[in-house]
Amino acid sequence: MLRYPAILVTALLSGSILLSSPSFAETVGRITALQTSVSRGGQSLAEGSGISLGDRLKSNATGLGVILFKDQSSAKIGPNSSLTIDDFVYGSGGGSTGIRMDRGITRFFGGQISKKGRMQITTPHVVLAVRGGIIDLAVGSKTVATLRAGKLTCSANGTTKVITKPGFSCVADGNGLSTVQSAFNFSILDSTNRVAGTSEPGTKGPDVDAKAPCSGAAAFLTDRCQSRNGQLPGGVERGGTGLRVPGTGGGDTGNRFVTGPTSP
Amino acid sequence: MKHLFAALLLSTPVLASGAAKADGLDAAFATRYANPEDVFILGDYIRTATSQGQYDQAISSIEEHLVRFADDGEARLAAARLYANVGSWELAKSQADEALASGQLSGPETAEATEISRRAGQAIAGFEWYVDATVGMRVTDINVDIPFNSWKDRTVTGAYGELAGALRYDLGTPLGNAIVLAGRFGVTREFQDAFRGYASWYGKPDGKIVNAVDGHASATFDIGLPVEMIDAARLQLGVFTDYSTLHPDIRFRSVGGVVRGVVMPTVDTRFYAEYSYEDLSSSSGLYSDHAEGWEFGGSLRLSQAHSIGAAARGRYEYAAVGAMTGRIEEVELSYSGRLPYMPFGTIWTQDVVLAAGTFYTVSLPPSLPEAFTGNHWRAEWTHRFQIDGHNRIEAGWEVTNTDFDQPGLSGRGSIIHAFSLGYTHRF
Repeated sequence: MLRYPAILVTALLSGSILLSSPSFAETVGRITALQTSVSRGGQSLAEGSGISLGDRLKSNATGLGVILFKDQSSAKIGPNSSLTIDDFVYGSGGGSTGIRMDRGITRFFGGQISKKGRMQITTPHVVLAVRGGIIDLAVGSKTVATLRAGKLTCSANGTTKVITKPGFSCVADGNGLSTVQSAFNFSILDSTNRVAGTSEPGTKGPDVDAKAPCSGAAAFLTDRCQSRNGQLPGGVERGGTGLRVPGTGGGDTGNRFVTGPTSP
Repeated sequence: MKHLFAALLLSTPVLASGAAKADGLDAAFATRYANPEDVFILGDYIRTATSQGQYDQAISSIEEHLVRFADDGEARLAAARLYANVGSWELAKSQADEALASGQLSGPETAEATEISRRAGQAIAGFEWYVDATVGMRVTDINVDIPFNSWKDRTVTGAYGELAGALRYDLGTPLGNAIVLAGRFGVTREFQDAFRGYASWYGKPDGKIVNAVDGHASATFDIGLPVEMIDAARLQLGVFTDYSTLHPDIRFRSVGGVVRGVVMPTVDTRFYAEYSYEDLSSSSGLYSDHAEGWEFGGSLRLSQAHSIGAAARGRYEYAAVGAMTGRIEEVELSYSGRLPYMPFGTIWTQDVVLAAGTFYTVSLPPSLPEAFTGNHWRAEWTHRFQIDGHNRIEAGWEVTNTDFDQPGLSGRGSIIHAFSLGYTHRF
């Protein structure tokens, strides 16, 4: 049986007034995938629709959509969600993104701006700064932001929390801000329930060839294929610097260096 | 040296500029942006982004594909791989499990998805570990000039076996604090041929077979610091012990501690500094009673595949009475990269290190201790071929040159070449 997260029910009941986008606004991205309904100003969007600064987007109870921004970042909007593009400035040196999310669930994927500039997401409860990564966000009577990759900084009521461990969430309810592990089930964004919000099966579709040197079986344990951003896995691999004072090359010490009874 | 540098230059033709890399990704993105429903163009963008380490962008594209085609098991496996690369274990596991449930995977893909799911499950529980078993051989050629312009040469040929492993236990904090336990134990059986030259004058033995063992164990408390303005900062506190037999009469035993600070201003830059102290008093055959060391350095990731680094380090050894028995200081430049070629389907990475510095050491001639001062340089070139998720081959070459003086005799030197070839299986 499909169960809706309580936070979504709260969000659905709260409702909101949709604002239409300014017709003169600059296009900052486009809808690249859609499932059932994502609308702007009461008008359903189609795949390929341009998204402009100031647009307020809303999905219905089974809606799922992907916005692809010009800096290569994207947002996977889940059911019963509402978000507004407040700011988008992108140049070669970085830029800034400002998104306001009033309700629902969305997965944000970083692009160029999140790595070089400022990517900020605002909810009624918290201000989030995303650095080079992926976050899941649920907004209802409270906000749950879960880091999936990169770094997440949460600020509310003068308190700031930093998360670098994927799977951890910051939770804000207007009164306080805390960090907990796996605070919310975002599986509806994984498309694992097929067509979101329904029991309809998905389709297989054509194969996508995603094979690259770091996306094969050998990459799984190759250090140079792993990117943990702020989380460093290192320990003391060697004793101190691992440096040895060289001997003078003789004796029985082979290729090992040691201070002491080497021979001239 | 001229040949060495020529070889290094030839080995790194793939050091394309960052701008060129960005252009390639931007071009792939422009095409993808204009053709959102074309699965071939989508695949091209995913491959380009993955090759450049832009995993978040590659993942978002696969997830977009899954919005359209939720029942694509292979796409879910691709997503699982990339989520594993960024350490997002919960999503890696859910996608791997969903890929397995699709029933669409081939045999090798099923094994891979099962492995990802298993590893991700352990990581979610707080454990990440590996054990590497390595066998291989080393050949070390040692050339030392003895007094009166005569050189003595010898070659040490040996087979070795080594077990190395690490366990990272996550302490369940938002900053990923963890305890890291690491260890290594190696056995080398090597044939040391006799010095050519007038070696017996110095008491050198004839050729013989010797066994050498060495080991290392460490425990590190890895602490994340809550910095906002930069990407990350960590403090690492560690204790370690080393053991090695260098000679029938020489045993190197140390117990020490190290404190290390790591700062990452951006995802592409990293700086670190560390200080260590070692107690060597339980060693046998060494003048040194204890040692101090320092190191600082940084690295810059030019792209996901290529990074360069620089470091400076020093080590000072002292006798029990406090007199210095050894000193070495050096600076190092390094390159680490993944080549675009995949010989026999392997992932080919290489590390190049060039280091130079000065040293002082007290060594024991047949009569009294003598002090040597000199300088050295070292070049290392290591290739790794990752065959699959469990197996790799490693080949390395290291050359170390010293030029040193001793009281009453100056202008001496040595040059040591060490070649190694090893096969490692990771459990």
